[in-house]
Parts: sequence; C-alpha cells; structure tokens
Amino acid sequence: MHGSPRARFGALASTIALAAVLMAARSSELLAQTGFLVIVNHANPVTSLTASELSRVFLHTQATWPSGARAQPVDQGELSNVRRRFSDDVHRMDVPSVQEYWQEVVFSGRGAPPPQRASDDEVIAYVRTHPNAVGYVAVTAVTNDVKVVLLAR
Amino acid sequence: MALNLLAPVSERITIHTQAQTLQTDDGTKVDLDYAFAEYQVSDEVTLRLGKVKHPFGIYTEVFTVGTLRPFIDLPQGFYGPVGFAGQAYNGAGITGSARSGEWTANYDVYGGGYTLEKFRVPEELYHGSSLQDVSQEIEVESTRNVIGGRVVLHTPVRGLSVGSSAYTGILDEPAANRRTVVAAQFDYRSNAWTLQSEVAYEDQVNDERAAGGYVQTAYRLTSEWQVAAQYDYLQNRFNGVSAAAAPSLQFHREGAVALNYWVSRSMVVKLEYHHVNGNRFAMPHPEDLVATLDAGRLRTVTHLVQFGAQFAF
Repeated sequence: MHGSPRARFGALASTIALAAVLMAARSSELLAQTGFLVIVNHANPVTSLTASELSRVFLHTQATWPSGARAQPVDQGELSNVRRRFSDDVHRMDVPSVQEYWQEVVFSGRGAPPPQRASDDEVIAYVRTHPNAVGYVAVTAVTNDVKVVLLAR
Repeated sequence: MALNLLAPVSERITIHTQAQTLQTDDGTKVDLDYAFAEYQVSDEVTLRLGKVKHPFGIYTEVFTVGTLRPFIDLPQGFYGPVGFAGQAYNGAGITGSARSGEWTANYDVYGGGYTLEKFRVPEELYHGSSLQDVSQEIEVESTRNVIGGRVVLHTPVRGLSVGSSAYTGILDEPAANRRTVVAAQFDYRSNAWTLQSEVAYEDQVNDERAAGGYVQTAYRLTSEWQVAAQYDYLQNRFNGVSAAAAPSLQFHREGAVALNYWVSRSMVVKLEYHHVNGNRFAMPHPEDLVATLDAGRLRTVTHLVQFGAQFAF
C-alpha cells in the first residue's frame, strides 16, 4: 500500500498509458481485427461496416447493401481458424453456436446459410467474381483482386 | 427422418418443402411438414403461401429437430398434445423484421386453417364416454378461419429475446366453438448458457380452458458435455366437469434433469430423468384406466428415465 515514490510513479505512468491506448482505440472506432480482413468486390461502393451490420449480412437478417443490391456473403469452412476469429469478433458467438443458428433457420424453412469456401484463395476468387459478395480472409492472404473494408464498432 | 428441400426459383422467390417418415403402430407413415412459396418483397416484408410452419412460440417451427433443444422431447406442458399450437397452417402469411438501432423485431401474421394433435382421454372420461371405445388416444383437431401472429423482440443483449404469440379460430366441429390461444416467451442463449421460458393460455368457448408453461436451462461444461434442467406444468379445466373427478387427470407437473454428450452440433446423445406429478399425460392405457381408477390404484407420480440419440444434418 505504501510503495516507494519510484514504484508509485511507475504505476501511475502505466495507468496513464493504458488509458491513452483505450481512448485512442475508442476514438478510432476500430474493432480489433485479430487475424482477418473483410473484403468486397471492387465494384461495391461500401468502404466500412460495423460489426453488427456485418453480422446481420452473414446471418441473413439484412439481405441488401445500402444501394439496394442483394448482399452475397461467403463463409470459410467451419474448422478454419479465420472463421473462428471472425465468428468470435463479429457474431460474438462461437462457430458451433452459429451452426446451431443455421440449423434453426434451415429447419424452420426460413432460409439457408451462405456458401462456404475451403480457403482464403477460394474466398477471394468468389468475391472477385461476384459484384455484391462479401467475405473475410487471413490478413496475409489479401490481394489486389478485392477491396478491403474497414470494420468499425 | 425428415428431408428438407429449398429451391430458389429466382432472386426473390423460393420454394420450401420438408417431408418426414414416422414409424407408427400402423407402419411407416410419410408426412408433409410444410410446402410453401415465399416472395421476399424487402428485408422487412416476405409473403408466404401454402402449408407453412406455424409461427408460435420458440420451438413450434423446429418441433422435430432434437439437436436444437436440451431434452429429447419438448416440454409437454407447452408443446405436448395439449391444444396450444399446430405444427403448420394452410393459408397465407407475412413475415419479416423491423430494426431500430440494436433492437430488432421479427414478426409474423397469418390467416387460414390448421390441425393440431390433442390427447383426448381426460375429455372422453369426463364427458361420460366409454373409455373402452377410445380407439385412438391422440385426436386430430381442425381449426378454420384462423388469424394469428407472433412478435419476437431481439434486444441489444446478444442472444436475449422476448416475444408473444396469439391466434384465434373456429373449431371445425358441429358446435363450432371459438378457440383462442395466447402465449409469451423469454429466450436467452450464449455460447455456454441457454435459459428459456414460455407460458400459454387456451380458451375454447363452452368446452375447456388450459394454462401451461415451462422454464428450462442448459449449460455446456465443455464443447461435448452439457447439463440441463427443466420444469413444466399444465392445468386443464373442462366445462361442466367437477375438479373432484380424478383431479390428477387434469394436471401435469414435471421436473427433469439431463446429461448430454454432443458428438457435434449435429448429433447428441441424451440421458435424462423426469419426475412427473399428475396424470394428464402419464396414465395407464385408456382401456385399463377405468378399472385402475375404480380400484383406487391410479398413481399420480411417475418416474421416467430416457436415453437416446438425436441428429440433424
């Protein structure tokens, strides 16, 4: 409780540094993207999406882009690490819970899940060839064939 | 075993069908769960026409899918053959959603007719019919001129929703009594926890009233192991029948626990114990019921252990 002046100064400096980082993160309104990037076709005018907007598009509770065009989300395989990270960050559900969501939608006759592609390259190829598509890939996999979308909170 | 088919005719028009095969005492039976056409006008409005899953409560539309619930059967006090909801309606409906900020409301309105299954023994007994003549315990009851709807409000808390369902219609029988059912639901789901509760009230003019409901919770210990607990109840009141006449035939109170092993989200093995108080569903075979009652041997408590596997893919 009564540390040395040096220790107390160190603790205060750490607290200030942490607060500064938190404020910076909040002001930039950027969601921490740990290991994936969201991509769309170059023809798509969308430049940023919130996590909840993106989640709605992938769960088919929002069917269209702001332009009115029908959104075409494409998922990665259920066992892929990038799918797991995307699910945790964007849906705030683990992959099995998302699978359960789709079981409910399918068996109640209310729709079908997005198509799945087995690799980052296949997702990029899908997005490149579908003007209204949206996908996600590992940070290191992105190419100039697609446009990266900013993911905001 | 059910087979689900979805055929997109165009960007906005889709055909949905699902058929299932059932093993019954009379052999294998094929049932058409639903078959309807859907036209999506917008995110907010979709039109449906045909035999459509009945939008009532949390589970009516996925009544046969065992991997979407913690127990082998749905809570009998709400989803049993009690007369609250049919599995599909024949008619036309509108479904959709409306969003405001982080709140989303999903809605359904519909009109047409439907059939539902009802366990008839207590009514037959109370109305003086000879139980010896009861050839089928489950009665299929038709309701026409139905109008109804459901609203489910998804809150900003991820996985938390509340809602209400209701419908009214005319029973397709000579007396043509009106049946009205209202229900409310609470549903919370996270990666590990599930907590759900529903209550319903049914009024059949000049015939009977029923109130039922349940609360159930489940927790995933690991990705494979899950524990669950449930309590459900049902209370019937038949017009012109004294509650003193075998009162246990008019109520059902059940507590249950389960231990589940999930091979994947598409396959689960369940072991469960149920403690049932009341004879609304738990009773001897109808042909033995009168003799059992006369001999004063009708036990009101039933212990049930169930073990089984369920899958969906």
